[in-house]
Amino acid sequence: MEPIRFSVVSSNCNNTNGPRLGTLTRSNYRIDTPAFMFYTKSGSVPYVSREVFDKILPNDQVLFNHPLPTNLNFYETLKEYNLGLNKFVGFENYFCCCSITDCAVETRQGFNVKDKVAIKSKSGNQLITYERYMDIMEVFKPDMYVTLCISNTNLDSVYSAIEKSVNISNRLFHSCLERHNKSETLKGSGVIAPIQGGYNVKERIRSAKYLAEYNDVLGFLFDGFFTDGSTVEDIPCDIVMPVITETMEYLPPDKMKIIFGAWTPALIIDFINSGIDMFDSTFPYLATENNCALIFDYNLKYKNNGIILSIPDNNSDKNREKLNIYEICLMDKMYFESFEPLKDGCTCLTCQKHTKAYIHHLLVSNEALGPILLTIHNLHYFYQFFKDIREVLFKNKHQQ
Amino acid sequence: MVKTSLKFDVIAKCSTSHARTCTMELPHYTVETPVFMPVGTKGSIKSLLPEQLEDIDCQIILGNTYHLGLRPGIDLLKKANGLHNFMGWNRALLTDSGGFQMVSLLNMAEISEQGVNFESPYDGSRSLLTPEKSIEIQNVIGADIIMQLDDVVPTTSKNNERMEEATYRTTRWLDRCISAHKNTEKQNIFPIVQGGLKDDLRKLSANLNLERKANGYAIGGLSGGEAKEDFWRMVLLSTQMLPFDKPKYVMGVGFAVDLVICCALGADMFDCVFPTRTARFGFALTSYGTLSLKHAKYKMDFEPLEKNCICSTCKTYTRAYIHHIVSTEVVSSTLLSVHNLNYQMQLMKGIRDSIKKNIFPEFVQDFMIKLYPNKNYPPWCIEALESVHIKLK
Repeated sequence: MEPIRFSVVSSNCNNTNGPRLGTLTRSNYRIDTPAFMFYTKSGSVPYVSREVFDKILPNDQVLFNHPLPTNLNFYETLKEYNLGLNKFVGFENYFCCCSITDCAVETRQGFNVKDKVAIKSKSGNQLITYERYMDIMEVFKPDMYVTLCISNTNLDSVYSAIEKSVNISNRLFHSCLERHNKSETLKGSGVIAPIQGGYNVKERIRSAKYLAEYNDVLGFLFDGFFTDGSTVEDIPCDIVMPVITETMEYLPPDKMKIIFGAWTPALIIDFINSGIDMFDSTFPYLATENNCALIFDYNLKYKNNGIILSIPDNNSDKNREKLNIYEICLMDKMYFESFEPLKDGCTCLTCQKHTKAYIHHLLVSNEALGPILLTIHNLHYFYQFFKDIREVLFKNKHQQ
Repeated sequence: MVKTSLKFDVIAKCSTSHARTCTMELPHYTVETPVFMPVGTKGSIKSLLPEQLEDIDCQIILGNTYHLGLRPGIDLLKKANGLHNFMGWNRALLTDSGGFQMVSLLNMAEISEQGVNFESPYDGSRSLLTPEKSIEIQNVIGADIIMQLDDVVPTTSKNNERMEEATYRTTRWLDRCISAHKNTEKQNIFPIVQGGLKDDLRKLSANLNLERKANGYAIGGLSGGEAKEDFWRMVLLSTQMLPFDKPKYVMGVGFAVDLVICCALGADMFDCVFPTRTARFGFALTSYGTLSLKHAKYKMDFEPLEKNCICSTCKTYTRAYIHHIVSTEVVSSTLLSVHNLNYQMQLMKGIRDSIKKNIFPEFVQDFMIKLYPNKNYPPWCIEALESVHIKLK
């Protein structure tokens, strides 16, 4: 198969920062960026089978992100199977990315030994060397993958821990890439270099500079911002943004830039404005986990070399006790008699057929269909948000 | 005379056994029988979208009056314009009376002539489910077929006096249900033949029911742990008492063997939580028996759950994948439920098609030999089938 490629289609700024449209292609398959990867657990998008997934986004090409802790126990089976992870989990003909951290849950720290990385899998902690990791990748055969790294840094990390994560991750990257270049199986797969450094800009730049010297990567992952995926929403924008923008200048503009985690839509826009191309779906996933539906109204405009997101404050529904501006919680009694869709005008299967009252009933009755209907809506809504972002960038490109 | 909102036509009859295939035209859908009805206890078939049920050709599903009456409750269902609307299901629906759950789920239920006095599991308050109340709730739910409240005594009970009392009371409650039934144009009430395992009581109950003239009849009080020898005899006795031109519904039957044999004995409709419940426990139903996907032997098994199965699970996934996710990911319930319900639906379709071609006895023989390749058929199966002139190979 052809190698996977990323290319920037349009970028309106002269410097490396700024929002851009791009494409990720392999053979006849193509994904337009900015986009997000669908987060999976044990190979499946949580709560939905392939059959149901096809009802969320019929016919669109998408990319799945498979975090290693949730699928490490597939290794023996996949070795025998020989057709790769994505076919095994029912997503043949879709793009497949393998990554190291499960960005939706807490990842334990302190188990990393020398250049071995502790992966907390279903069968306990496993120490993974780069050799073993590359064995796994050769068996999983992803279209792209993050090289083995230590990313257990967060807002509280001390300098020595940050320095260690950069050093080890850089070394592991080098070893993985060497092995990658010798591998016949992974010939067409893309390597994603993980930039570490926590919230220390100097360390970030050191990591970025080192990794940027390698030309043969598909993209860069901004990693190591959190160790508990469920707390990402609370990370302040003014702390994380400078780290991204300052590091970005040291990265080659033509490569894909990725960040994972449940960042809020407002922060996603800021990230896109700084040149990030790819995200993941932990934000809608965690909304579902909290029995919530994404309902935020938004206006997107292009102005001064960036997208501006405005979220009108809807006071029409005075009873609404919003958790935040993005979602409503369907466990709330106020939806008991609410015979309207989760979001007026939403074209997802859930909103076309079902009411808040029904979903409320399913959730309070602990019926498995509740999270399924929420997942359909939340993924659809998040997908539409990204479609609209691309649309704004596309229109702007043609106006120039 | 109950007004007609059900049109029942026998399309073909097996020339050997009592099996028949029919169409049953209901207000929301025309159902082909013999039919299996999946159970959607609390307003959804667990882990499945209504679209998925339609895709596997599910024609009628069952809702539980007891659960729905407690939650979301009758007032909400009234505002929602019935259960069809509330859950987004456009095909046929049947509701039970609620009596069975009270007796089976609740220790504190007390049965009197008035009705069943029970304690709400949600708030501990006591309520009385009378025949009138059951019908009131069922009228609000709006199912195409509703059931009378019956006095259920476990078939294993040795108390003959209680059994006789229950049989007569069931008929008295039937009369109260019929008078309470307000929506005869859109909903059919089915009486229930009771009588435990006693021939004379069953006959009596059937005769009392027949005097009431309904559009269809149920055979109740079975599938409660009685010996299979008793079970099939009671089914046969009941189907033979009930009129040829009416649908006959054996309640609580869902094992494949039981379905095939009850069809041979002349029954038309069945319901059971079994296929979906067993799916949630990690079991897959196949023509060659049940697979327990938790078993380590499936770790390297790259076959679908059943070869040539047309369900979406078998088209996409291997046994090995399902083995890996079966006890950890809830999506495995969806995968196995789709497969198991599709298995039931295809089994019933196979039965209907073979009756139309008048090769039902051969169908039964093939079915049994796949399940019992060593021909160690359970004796009750042999007897039951011989009673309707089907000999196993």
